[in-house]
Amino acid sequence: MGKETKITNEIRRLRFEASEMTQAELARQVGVTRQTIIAVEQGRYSPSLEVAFKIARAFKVPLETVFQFPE
Amino acid sequence: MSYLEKINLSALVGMALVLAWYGSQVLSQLGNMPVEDIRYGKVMIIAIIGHVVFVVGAAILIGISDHKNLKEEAEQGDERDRKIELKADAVGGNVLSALIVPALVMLMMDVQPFWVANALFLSLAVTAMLSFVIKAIDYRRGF
Repeated sequence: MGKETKITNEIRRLRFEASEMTQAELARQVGVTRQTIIAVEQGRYSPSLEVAFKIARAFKVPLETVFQFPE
Repeated sequence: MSYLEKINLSALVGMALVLAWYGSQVLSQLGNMPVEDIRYGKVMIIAIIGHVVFVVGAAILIGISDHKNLKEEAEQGDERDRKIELKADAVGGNVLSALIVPALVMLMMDVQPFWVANALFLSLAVTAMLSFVIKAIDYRRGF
């Protein structure tokens, strides 16, 4: 079991809603590797603010729609 | 598994093999003959070059078999890879600083070159091994 970050995300749902965007396509748009998208999606890696904004921009939604930091 | 993660694992395996081979060639002679008669220099150089050749060979083979990942990573770079590398290097650097001290003390005490050289070699090897292990864990577990 991986070490999960406290930050949760909705990337998987958003990819599904974005015409089932592949992880590879999202990675290409964001400018990271597919492995990094997988790690972020699974909560094993908290991306930098820059990458987080790029992910949100790829889905055309606000940052808080993609990432949450529960109390 | 990313291209760099595969390279890291092959470097880890290569280092383990090199250390095992070095131990069998040099350290196994301890007790059988005086340390000043043990010819360790050539074996040490072969071990260092052998590891470099092993990693380069592995990188080429992995690159050929996994050219899709290689192309992707070469084009995009990756912040996660860089962070993993930086963390492993930072820990390795601190450990190396600590491991060098005994070798320095040995030099000050005029200990035989065999022991000083091997203390330095093992410091470098252990540090590299530790960095590879930290990277392997971070790639799998996240950080």
